[in-house]
Amino acid sequence: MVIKRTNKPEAKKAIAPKADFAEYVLTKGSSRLMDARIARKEIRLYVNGPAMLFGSARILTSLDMPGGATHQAWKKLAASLTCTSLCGHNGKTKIPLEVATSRIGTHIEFSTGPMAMYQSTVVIKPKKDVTLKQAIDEAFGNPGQSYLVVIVPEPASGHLEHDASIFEPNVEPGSPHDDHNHGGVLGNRHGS
Amino acid sequence: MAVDLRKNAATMPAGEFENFFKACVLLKSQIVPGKTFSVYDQWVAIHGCVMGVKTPGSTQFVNLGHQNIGFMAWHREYIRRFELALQSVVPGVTIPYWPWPVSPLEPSTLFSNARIHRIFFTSSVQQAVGGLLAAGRPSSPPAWWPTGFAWTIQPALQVGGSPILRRGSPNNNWPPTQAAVTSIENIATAPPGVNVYWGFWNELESGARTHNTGHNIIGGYMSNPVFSPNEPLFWIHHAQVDRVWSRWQANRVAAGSTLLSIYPPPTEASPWNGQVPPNGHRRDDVMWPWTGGTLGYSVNAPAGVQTMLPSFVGVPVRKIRDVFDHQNLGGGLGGYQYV
Repeated sequence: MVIKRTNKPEAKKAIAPKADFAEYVLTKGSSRLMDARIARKEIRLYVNGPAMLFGSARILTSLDMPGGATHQAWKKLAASLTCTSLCGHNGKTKIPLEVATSRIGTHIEFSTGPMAMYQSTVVIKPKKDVTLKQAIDEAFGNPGQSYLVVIVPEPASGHLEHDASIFEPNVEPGSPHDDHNHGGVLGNRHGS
Repeated sequence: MAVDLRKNAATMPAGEFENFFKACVLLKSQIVPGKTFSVYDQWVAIHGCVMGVKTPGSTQFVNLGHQNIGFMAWHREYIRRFELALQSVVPGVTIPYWPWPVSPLEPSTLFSNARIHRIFFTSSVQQAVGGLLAAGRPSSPPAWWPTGFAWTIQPALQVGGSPILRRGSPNNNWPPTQAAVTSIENIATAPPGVNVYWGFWNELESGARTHNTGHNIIGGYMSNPVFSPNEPLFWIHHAQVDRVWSRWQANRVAAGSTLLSIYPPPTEASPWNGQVPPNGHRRDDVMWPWTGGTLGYSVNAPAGVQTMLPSFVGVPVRKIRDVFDHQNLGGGLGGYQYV
């Protein structure tokens, strides 16, 4: 399993330690389960081929509903986090953390970012100055049991080379990389 | 043909580095007879078209240059042929390699106006390239600069309509440490029954801070999926990719392997999904567009791009295995070393 955890170098005169992060590489054959409940303040997903190789990801937990994984808790967790794609091709894109429901329960789903063939970074972090573990535990009501929260990447559903849409304009090179929201899960799925 | 020497872009003599840019500029200013695009543009078009190629008998378009094991071999052939094209306008010139661990965030010769200029890390706005390619031409052009020439992107090779080179990316996941690069060059193990090349290739193309990341942290055309060779940094970046592959090959050969044995045999299935790689990526497959004019290939790219492709009819057929020895490529391509 390719998991690397790195501490940012601290500034020499920093009053408080800089936030640290965990990094995961999403590529062929990489881990399909990535620990999200970690004592770090940021997760960086290095996504190879967003919307080409990887399309989306889900956040799942080993908790059951009686243990705290209620629909309301998932909504609280989604609201407590931010998700952003950083990409040389598409700039900075806010990615919605969508609370997805089905007959069997709830989870969080998010896009791995606008289409790019190379590698972009998706950053997930709490809105408050706390660790992912603290934010997750708070959302689920501080369960008094050991449990997992994992990120599960999903493949893109098409090959953009096949219909030549890879040639279509995305963001004008040179345009301001203002935050723009076109990172929704469904918006980046590409049927073939 | 003598063995060429590819040198470190950060430490090679300034005049030699300038010669590389000079050759790029001269190819970019050399209009194909009867056309409106340049010889340089033809190389950009090849990279765009390799994204979707249908091989004879196949039913779908496949990226024959990326995202599978033929990635390094295809680019080795591609940049060597480009290098020979550069030598047609500046004899003896070679493509420098970008020593990745040199950080763009610190002052250095490499990231100065005289060489590859700046990379605008964490920039929220892409910025025009300065130095030799500032707004298409330097403020004080050298004597060799073609009269009236400015480096502008051919309309058919633009995505989004930007005619000049820009850089800038909010993605600052760079650089790799030298230890990390060395670690990749020493990858020596794989699960039982899996050729060691699979993991090495995947790490070099798509690792945490390797090929794909390098494209993305530069931004602008360099991070464009199809037309990244519009940016001359493309060649310098890919020379480093090729160098890492060559050093890995040397390490494995020193440990007793052969160049042939450290590429999966044609019938070996992918350890990711159990499927044999598509035609064009396997060891004995022909590499498009160096197919000797074989009929049955088609490309899935806009007509305006396809029409820019040069003809390779009459050029010997080139297979993946033909490029394993970079010092002796055969096919009239000679060879090269990294120093």
